[in-house]
Amino acid sequence: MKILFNEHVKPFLKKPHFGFIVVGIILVIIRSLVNVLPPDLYGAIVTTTYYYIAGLGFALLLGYGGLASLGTGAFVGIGAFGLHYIYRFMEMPLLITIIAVIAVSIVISIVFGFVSLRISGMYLAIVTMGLSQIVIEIIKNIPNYASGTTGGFLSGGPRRPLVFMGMELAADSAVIFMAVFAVLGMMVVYNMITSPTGRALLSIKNSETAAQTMGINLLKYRLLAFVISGVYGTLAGVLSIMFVRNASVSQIGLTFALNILAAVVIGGTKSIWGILLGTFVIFGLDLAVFQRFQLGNYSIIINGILIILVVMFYPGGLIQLFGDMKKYVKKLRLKIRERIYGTE
Amino acid sequence: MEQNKLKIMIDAAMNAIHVNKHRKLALKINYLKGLAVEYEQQDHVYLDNALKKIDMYYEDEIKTYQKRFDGITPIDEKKEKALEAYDKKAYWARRKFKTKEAKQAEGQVLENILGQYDQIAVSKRNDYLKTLDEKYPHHSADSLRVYEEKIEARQAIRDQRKEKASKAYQKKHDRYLSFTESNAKKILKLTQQEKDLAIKIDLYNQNKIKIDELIQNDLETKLAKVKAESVAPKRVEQKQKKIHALEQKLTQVQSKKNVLSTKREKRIHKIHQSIKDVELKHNMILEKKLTQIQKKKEECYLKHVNADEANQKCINHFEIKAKNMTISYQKNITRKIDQLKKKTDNIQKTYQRNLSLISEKENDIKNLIAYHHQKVFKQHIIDRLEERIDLIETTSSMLNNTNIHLSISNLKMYFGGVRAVNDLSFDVKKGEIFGLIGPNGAGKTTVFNCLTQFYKATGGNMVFRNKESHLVNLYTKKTHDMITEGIARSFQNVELIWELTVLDNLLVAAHSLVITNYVEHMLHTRKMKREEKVLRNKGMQILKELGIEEYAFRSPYGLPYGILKKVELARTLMTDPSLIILDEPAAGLNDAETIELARIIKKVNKDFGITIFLVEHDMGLVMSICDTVCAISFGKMIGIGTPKDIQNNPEVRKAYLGDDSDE
Repeated sequence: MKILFNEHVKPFLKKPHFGFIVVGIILVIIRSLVNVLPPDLYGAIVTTTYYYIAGLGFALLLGYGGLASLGTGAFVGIGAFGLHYIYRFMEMPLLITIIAVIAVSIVISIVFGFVSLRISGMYLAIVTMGLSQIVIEIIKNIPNYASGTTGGFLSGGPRRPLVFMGMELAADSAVIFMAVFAVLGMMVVYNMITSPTGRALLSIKNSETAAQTMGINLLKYRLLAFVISGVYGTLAGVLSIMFVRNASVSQIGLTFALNILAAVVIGGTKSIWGILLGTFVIFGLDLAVFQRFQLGNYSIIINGILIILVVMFYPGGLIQLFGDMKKYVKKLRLKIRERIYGTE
Repeated sequence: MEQNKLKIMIDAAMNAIHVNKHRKLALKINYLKGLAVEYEQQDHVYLDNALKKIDMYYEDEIKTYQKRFDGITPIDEKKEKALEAYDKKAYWARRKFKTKEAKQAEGQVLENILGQYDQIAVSKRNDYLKTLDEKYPHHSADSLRVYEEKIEARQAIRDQRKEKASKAYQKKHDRYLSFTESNAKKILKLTQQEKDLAIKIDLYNQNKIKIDELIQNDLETKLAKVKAESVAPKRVEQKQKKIHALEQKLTQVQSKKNVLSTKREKRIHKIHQSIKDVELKHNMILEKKLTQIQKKKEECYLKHVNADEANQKCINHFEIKAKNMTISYQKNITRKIDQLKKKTDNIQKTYQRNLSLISEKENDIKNLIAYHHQKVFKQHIIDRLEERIDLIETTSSMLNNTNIHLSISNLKMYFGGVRAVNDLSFDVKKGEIFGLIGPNGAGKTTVFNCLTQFYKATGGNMVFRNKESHLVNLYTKKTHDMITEGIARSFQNVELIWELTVLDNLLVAAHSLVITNYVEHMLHTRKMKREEKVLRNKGMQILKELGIEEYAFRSPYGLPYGILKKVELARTLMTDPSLIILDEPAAGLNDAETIELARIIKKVNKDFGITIFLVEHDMGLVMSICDTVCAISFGKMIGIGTPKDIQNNPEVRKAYLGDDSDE
């Protein structure tokens, strides 16, 4: 038994994949505790989860590719409104719908990428912002199918309940989907960043000339990162409409893209766990803490202050704080000991 | 000829496919070889590791029983623990006491006080030991036999497991052997394929010499034709100047023409007016005279009122006179008008003549301009043809002489009007260290950037013999393709990735060796993991060769500059290059580091058989390691040869030290 544990279980527990699976398990537990948990806390956790997926994709683009794009909102919109359109009006099965939406987002992100990825820096942000605005305008102007500014997913019009494998899904069942996609997403991103592809992206971010001399095709890898981030954004949109059963154009505009950017920057652009923290701070903190204890509308102010502090003092993100704190505590203990007992 | 062209194109395409296949095969063979090494290492240590693990698992269990067997009861253990805790407490108490006393006393006094304290502490400890003895009395165990049996049982289990492990290892070893066998077979098969491809490529190259000759002849005849048509091809600018001058002339001539026509019109107008004037004048005079005759006639009539005859006579006389007068006047007028008309005719004629002359001139100029224009156009054609012929010549010379690795001919790089590199040509031989020197701003780094396609050269050819012994025109390649052809470069200021460790930096460089694609990277397949291990081994090996393996897992951030330069060199080596381009490798190094670097560059050149092409300011380094040195100044070559030749070259001295005649 001990040998089995030592040989097989222990190495697995040390792997980061175990942590990702734990996240999935926790989400499933939360799903089963829906009646026990306070609804605002539950909502905060779920919101954090599906925006976390979008944040993960964006982190691959920003932290590894070094590309600041403001087009995340467009992909979330494609996910949400695409699912709505294909599922409700083309009457496809749910799984096929999700696959179709992802395919659409891949095509659009490739087109976006070819247009915008030849430039970088501030201009890329501007171009992607414009492109995302185009997508949003298109969504806005098909009121019949996209339901205009508010996508009444199951409210109004011909009702079509969500059916997956013959089962009718309640809103809370989306959490299971979230658990699956979050775990998969974390694993894929982790695999990506520890593989030659991730290193290639990092090298592009560090020095384009050096990357080119080492045989890295800039456009190919940037496009890859962009497509992956687009797919992640789309998944976030799909999950959000599956849970909320509603989507609004105002949610996916520039503000949303900036929020995702803030979440990734606050949490730490290169840390999978840091992004989870950052997303919670941006999207969940208000619901889970400020509104719950009726502390007033200070969350936005706190977010602003956090962004300033992080950018100035913790470029590695808030997740860096934990490591620093550990070091600090160690130092403090040594200091106190020396104060009391003197030096050796 | 058309068919031939098609055939040549098909052959070239086939050759490109062969080269690509060869490249992929080489990568795969390298991977398999690396895998074989990796598995061999694993096989070597597998049994030992497994046995060690089992030993470790059972060691703890056996230890406890061994203790019991040796006569240590659980009570004794408790006692030991208590004593340990006491000792720890005593240590901290002593430390506190010491710091407290150190504030008041120093030196010998302090030592005395501490000695007293220690004596008291020892006695206290003895007292505590006594109490412990009372508290935890020692009982010898009744039956040691039980423990012995237990130990034996454990050992038996352990041995069993070891046996099992060794059996498992045997199986694994068998598998490993079969794997190595199959791997070796695979490698053999692939190498055979590689050889076949190499033969094919070689054949193509040999054929290419003949075809190139044909093409060259063809092009040369074309060139001769074009040259014959365009007579003494001068510089394009001169032609353009000429054209400009001609155009100016043309405008002058055209203005002249205008002037002429206006002049003519004026003159004709004048003549017309003078005709009118003459007519008017004559008419007036005639009238006057006629009136005079009429008066005279009347006078005469009055004189001879009564004499009819005389009267008649008079009248007749005057009438005749008047008639004659009018006739003569008319004659006069017509004569004068005729004269004038003749004049106009003359003017018209001369004008026509002049006009025809001028228009002839105009046409001539126009023809000349067209001709010169044609010539300029032809100049472009000639340039292009010459470049193509040059390319074929360089490739064929490289095909004939397999010793040449890189051939640069007539390289030009203009930035607007600035000619950074102008008609530079030299050959780099295989396996030599080639140094490019020159004063500041001579265009050395520009040559490098042209070679690695960061700049697109304005003109000229750069032909490179790649790893598959296929000749490529570098101009047609992109920057990120350079590495697959076998050209690696380092940078003047180290461009490492600071967020990764040194070894990971090498792995980034191994990007061109990776045979898995990004889907496999996403899923972390077994193949990808194996490949990673192989590449890691390779990286470690290279670091070992360069003597910096101790830094493998450190971040390059904060390492000394000499080490960073070595890491950059290791990174270039990681890509399996056949030519390394070093951009000022000794910049920012001290003398000792430079000497070390020179040693390493020589070692790399010798051991790996890699051609090295370097730009350097440090003359000591260049002169000590280079086989051939090329000196350039303002984009033009001023000398090439062995370091000694260059040192004695008066032009190089002039370029570096200035003109001697000034002093």
